[in-house]
Amino acid sequence: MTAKHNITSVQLLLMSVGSALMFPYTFMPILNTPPANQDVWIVMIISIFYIFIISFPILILINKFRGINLNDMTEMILGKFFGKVVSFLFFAFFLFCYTACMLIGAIFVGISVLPGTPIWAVLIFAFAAVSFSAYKGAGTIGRLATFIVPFVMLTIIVFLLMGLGLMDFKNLQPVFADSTLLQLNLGAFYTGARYSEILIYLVFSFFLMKKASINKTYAKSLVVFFVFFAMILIPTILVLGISFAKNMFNPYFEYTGQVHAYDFIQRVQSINALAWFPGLLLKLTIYNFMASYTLSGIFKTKSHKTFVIPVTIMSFLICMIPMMQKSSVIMLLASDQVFPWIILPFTFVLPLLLLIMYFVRRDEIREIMKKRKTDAALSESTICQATETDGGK
Amino acid sequence: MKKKLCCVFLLITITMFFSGCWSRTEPKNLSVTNSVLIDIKDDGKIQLTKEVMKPSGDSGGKGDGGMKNSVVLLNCEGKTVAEAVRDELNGKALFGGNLKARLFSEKFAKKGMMPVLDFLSRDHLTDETSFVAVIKGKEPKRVYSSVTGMSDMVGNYIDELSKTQIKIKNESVYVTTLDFIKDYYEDGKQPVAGLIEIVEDESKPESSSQAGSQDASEKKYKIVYSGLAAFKDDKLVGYMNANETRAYNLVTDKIVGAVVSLPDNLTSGKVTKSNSKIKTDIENGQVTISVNTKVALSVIQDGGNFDVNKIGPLKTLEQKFNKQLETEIAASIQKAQTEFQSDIFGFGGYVHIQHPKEWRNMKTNWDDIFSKAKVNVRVDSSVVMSGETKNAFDQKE
Repeated sequence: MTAKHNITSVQLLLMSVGSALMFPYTFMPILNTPPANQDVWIVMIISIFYIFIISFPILILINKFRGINLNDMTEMILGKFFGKVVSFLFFAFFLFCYTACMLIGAIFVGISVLPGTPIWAVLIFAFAAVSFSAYKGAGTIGRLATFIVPFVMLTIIVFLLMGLGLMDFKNLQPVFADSTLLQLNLGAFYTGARYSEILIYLVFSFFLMKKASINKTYAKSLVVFFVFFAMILIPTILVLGISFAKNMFNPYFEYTGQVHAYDFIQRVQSINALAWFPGLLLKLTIYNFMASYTLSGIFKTKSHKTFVIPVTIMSFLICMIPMMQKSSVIMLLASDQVFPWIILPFTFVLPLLLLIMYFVRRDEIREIMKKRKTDAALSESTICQATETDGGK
Repeated sequence: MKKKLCCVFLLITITMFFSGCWSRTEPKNLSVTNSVLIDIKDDGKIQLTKEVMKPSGDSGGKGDGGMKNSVVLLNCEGKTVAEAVRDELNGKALFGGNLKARLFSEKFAKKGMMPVLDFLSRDHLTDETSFVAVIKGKEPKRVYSSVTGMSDMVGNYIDELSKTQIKIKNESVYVTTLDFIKDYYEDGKQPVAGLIEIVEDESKPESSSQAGSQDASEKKYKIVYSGLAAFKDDKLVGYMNANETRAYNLVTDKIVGAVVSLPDNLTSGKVTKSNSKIKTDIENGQVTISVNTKVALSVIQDGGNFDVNKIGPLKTLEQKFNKQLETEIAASIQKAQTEFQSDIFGFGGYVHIQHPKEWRNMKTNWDDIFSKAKVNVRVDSSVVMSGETKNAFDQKE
């Protein structure tokens, strides 16, 4: 199993914020979610409530199993066989996310940025960078986030300020008039259900410094995410108008294409692409790491490194299936009919079942945890003694 | 050591592959388009005239400000706009990132802009910041043989006008492609575009050298960018003249520095600030639109009829401005209601905001409802500045 690294709460926060921001930054699914009108910003606010509900089982599990990784946790709760089955399901999900995000990114590159470049070239370039950083482990990914995510955030602030002159606040009116409460809640549910970043906490909390509070870090990351989400969503609607924006494949990229100031700040859209690409690579790195780490837990290998390349190859092969490169397939995959329903079982249903099982087998699990602690303490003292002996020699 | 050497070798090899972009095009191999004219032929084929910058740098030569030397006109055609764009590439890759204006012939605009809008939204190289204008008349291509002021290209000329003309007289509209597409998409507002008229230029060249190789007997044309082209959905339905366009700009709050003259042709005021409040009422299915416009004016010319330094005459002057602007605005809205039957002012948007429930039933046939709506116009002008003199020139003490 991979050695335990220490990542700080800020790094974890930035990882989850950076990963979550990539969806609105790339294709902004909230615009086509019910009620799909000028009230989408209300949907965004309500979705915070749904995200908290959806994340609740995982948050409890992480807190209960602090210092224990995903594989050990599932095996403790469900036993070896079923634990491995559930871990494998999580691996399959991480692989799906990794592949789906790669495809969405590749299609965006193919449509808007580099249409002349073949998709395989984009994939190879992305996979090489992603595999390298995932190979280096959690600590490196955490440090990578501290470089990339603040830059992404900075571009969002810059685009917001530079677009102020283009904004028409009438585009947000009338408020509440065209949507029913049911539509708003349905939209908020779909938006919340798309939020899979709680799984980053599920895997990376194992590497988090002991003194850091998971609940506080998660709450902070949600606040930061929604502030920046609003800074992406609202200017896009104010400048493009809701009807046009929701028809665009990448509305935020379109918005940044309109931004200019005076005669000397022109064509700043490239900054958007400049921030988007490392941001996407970070998201892919996180999912590659999570997939290979979970797989290494299933096969009890020493390190996740063994699986980084196989995971990448698997994903590459899926991406190279001609049907998968059709933009219509990607649109269907990213739609409300598919994407939230794939994520929800892994962010809510499965963790809820695990939580129920935990409460059913609580005493037994406590015993196992106690035993583990004693074993760990014993092995620690043995190591200390061995070190002392070595030092004496 | 071996590992390090391998890494160094790998890095050197990688840099060889990363030295350029996959689908790069050198600037010298680009056809940088400044403006494009889209027309339709009698057989239904799309005809494109692209005003492309000549890269050799021999501009500034003889003729109309060197225009003939710095520009290459490429004519191409195709069954669709997308085909026509790719028809004549002049041996170079077309680059639309510097496009300043998209011009449409009257014939094309009347047939419908939808195919172009769809192409522009889909294509990754097209830029939505360029201006959209319709060329009135049957000879739209004359735009490229017309005098373009101090500019060397038509696209640049329109771009420069958008920065200068709009500040001195608000008698035209500068609509970007994005504005046009947005209005097309939105319920309750119909799009408008700039309007270009090609008129004969009666001014004679000052010297023979300025005339260049042009035949002295040859007619010269100039571009008049004034008024607006009104659309219903994607089809051109009519034009508004300069005064009507000024009224349009007043109602839609796009006034920057319009000049309003009284019918006596002696007194002029410059609008320094304006704000229109639009209120809509619905009673028994009848829509009433109330336009309340507040205008701040500076007197920039006084024919001596008003002593603008006294409150009494100033009030009379303000009332005259009110009447003048009210008449202009009412006429402009009436034209949209009766002639165009198209809500280019965006009153539908206000009905949507102020009466959202009723709007649900109205939005599908809003233009019909708008054409029958009752419109009340009220202008409240206030003369705040009267220039550097106290009395009119003919009021010598």
